[in-house]
Amino acid sequence: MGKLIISIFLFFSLLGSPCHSVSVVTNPSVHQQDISLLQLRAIYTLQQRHWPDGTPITVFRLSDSPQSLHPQFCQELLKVYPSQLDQLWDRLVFSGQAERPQSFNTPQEMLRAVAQTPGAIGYSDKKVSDDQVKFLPVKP
Amino acid sequence: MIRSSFYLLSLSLLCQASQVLATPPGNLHGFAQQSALYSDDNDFIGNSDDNIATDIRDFGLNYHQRFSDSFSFAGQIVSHEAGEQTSNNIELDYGFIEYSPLQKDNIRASARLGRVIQSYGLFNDVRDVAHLRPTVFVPYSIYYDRLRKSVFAEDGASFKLELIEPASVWTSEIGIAKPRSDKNEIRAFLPSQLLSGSGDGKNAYFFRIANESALDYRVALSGIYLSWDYQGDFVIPTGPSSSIAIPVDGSMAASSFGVSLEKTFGSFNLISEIFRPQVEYLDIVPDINPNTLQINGTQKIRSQQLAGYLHMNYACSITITCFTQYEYFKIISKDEDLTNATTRDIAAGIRIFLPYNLQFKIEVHEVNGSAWLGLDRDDAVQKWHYYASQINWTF
Repeated sequence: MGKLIISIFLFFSLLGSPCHSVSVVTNPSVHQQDISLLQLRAIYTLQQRHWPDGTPITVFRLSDSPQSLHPQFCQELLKVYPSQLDQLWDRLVFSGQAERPQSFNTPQEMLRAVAQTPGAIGYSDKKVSDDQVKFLPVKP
Repeated sequence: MIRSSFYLLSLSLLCQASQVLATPPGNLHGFAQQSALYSDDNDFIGNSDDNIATDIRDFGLNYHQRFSDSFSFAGQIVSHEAGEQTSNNIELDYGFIEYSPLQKDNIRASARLGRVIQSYGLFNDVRDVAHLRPTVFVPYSIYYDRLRKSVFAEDGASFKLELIEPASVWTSEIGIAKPRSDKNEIRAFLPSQLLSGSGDGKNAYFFRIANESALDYRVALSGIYLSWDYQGDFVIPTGPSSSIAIPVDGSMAASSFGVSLEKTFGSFNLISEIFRPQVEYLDIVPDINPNTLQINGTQKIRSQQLAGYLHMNYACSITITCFTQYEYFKIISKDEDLTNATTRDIAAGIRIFLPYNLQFKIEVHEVNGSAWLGLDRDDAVQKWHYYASQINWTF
C-alpha cells in the first residue's frame, strides 16, 4: 500500500502547467493603489466583503473554459489551483452562506462590468490596457 | 432505476430552468452523486459483502435568495440513499431565514431561524455534497452517518459572530434546536435489535469557534449534543412463535466535541480532526436475568469513544489530486461488553476534476476492526477491505 501511494504521488508530481501574466483590476472608485496577496485571497474567498472605506466589494471572475485566464489568475496570483478556489466557493454556496462570484465568458465583458460597478474587482491579461478600470499591482 | 431516471430528468430540467431563474437576487444550484462500493467482508453500506453495492446516491437542489442587505433565505432539498436502511424520499435538508443586522468591514453578526445547519467539524455543513468531501464518504467515526439527518440540520435557531482581521476571520456559532425523529435513524441508533418503539426529539445544542485564513488554514473547536425520549417495548423471544414484551420508557443521547485542522502547503493539503463522541441510553434496555427472565430494573448504557483521522492530499496537476488517509476509532470506555472496539482504516485514492463540474473519485481502504458497523455486529470480520468509487456533479 505504501509503495503504491508514493508511486502515485511521484508520477503526478511530474506534471506541470504553463505560466501567464495576469493583473488585478478594480473599478476606479476603489481608493487603494495596490493589493496584498493576503487581501486578494480574502476578497476572492469572500471573507472580506467591504473595502476599507466601507464600499461593498463585488467580485467578478472568468468562466472555466480552457482558454480562460481564470486558471492562470488562480495559480499565478492566488497561488492555488482553480479547483481549490471552486471548492471553497461551493462550500459557501451549499452551506447557505454566500453566492459564487458572477462569471463572464470573455475578458472584455468582465472589464466592462468592472468599469460599470462601483467597488468591483476582477482580473485581466497584463498586456491589455483599459482607461475605464484601475490596475492594482499585487504585493507579495 | 425508474426513480433514478426521474430524478436525473428532473434535475436536467431544473438545470435548464436555472439558466432562466438564476438572475439576481435568487440563485439555484444542485448536486448529484452515484457511488459504487465493494467490500470483501462485512456489509459496509447496502449489500456490499462480495457484491458491488450501487444503491448509494444523492440528488440535491439548493436555493439562495437575498431579499435585502439584512435578510436572506437559503434552503436545500435532498434525496439520500445509502443502502436499505435509508429512505430515498425527497426531504428538506435545511431551510432558514438569515437576519444580518451588523455588517461592517471588521465585524459581522447574523441569526438564523428555521431548519438550521449545525456547525460541527469541518464537513458537517456540506456533508451531503459529495463534490466537497475529500473522500467518497465523510469519516464515519466522527460524523455519525447513522444519524445523518439529525446531526446535519435541526429545527431551531443559531447565531453567528465574525471578527474579520487582515490575515484571518474568527467565527463563533451557537445554536439550539429540536432533534428530528426519523424512524430509520432512531432504529439504527438503538442499542438492541430487540427494541421496537419510537423516539421523540428533546434537545439539540451545538457550537463552533473557528479561525480561517482563506486558502491557507482553518482550525476549529466544535461540539454537538442531541437527545431523544424513547418509548416502546423490549421484545424477548421465548419460543418459535412466542415472546415477552417489556414496556420501556427512557431516553438516549449522542454527543461529540473535538478539534479540526486544515492546512495547505502549496500543492499539499492536510486535514485532521480528533473528536470524543459519546452515546448514552437510559432506561431503554431492561436488566434481565437470562436464566429466570426476572427483570431487575433497567440499564444505563454509556459508550465513550475516541475518533480521529489524518488526511493528506497532493494536487498532482490542475485536475488530479492524490490522497491518503488514516482513520482511527476506539471505544475507550463502555458499560457493556462490546466486541471489535477498535478500528483502523488506511486508505489511498485519486480524485479527478473533470470538465462540466464533474468529479471522479476512486479509493481503496484496508480496515482492521468493525466498531463503526454498529453496536450489535458481533458477526463482523476483523480484517477487511473496501473499494469505493464515485462520480459527482454540481451546477
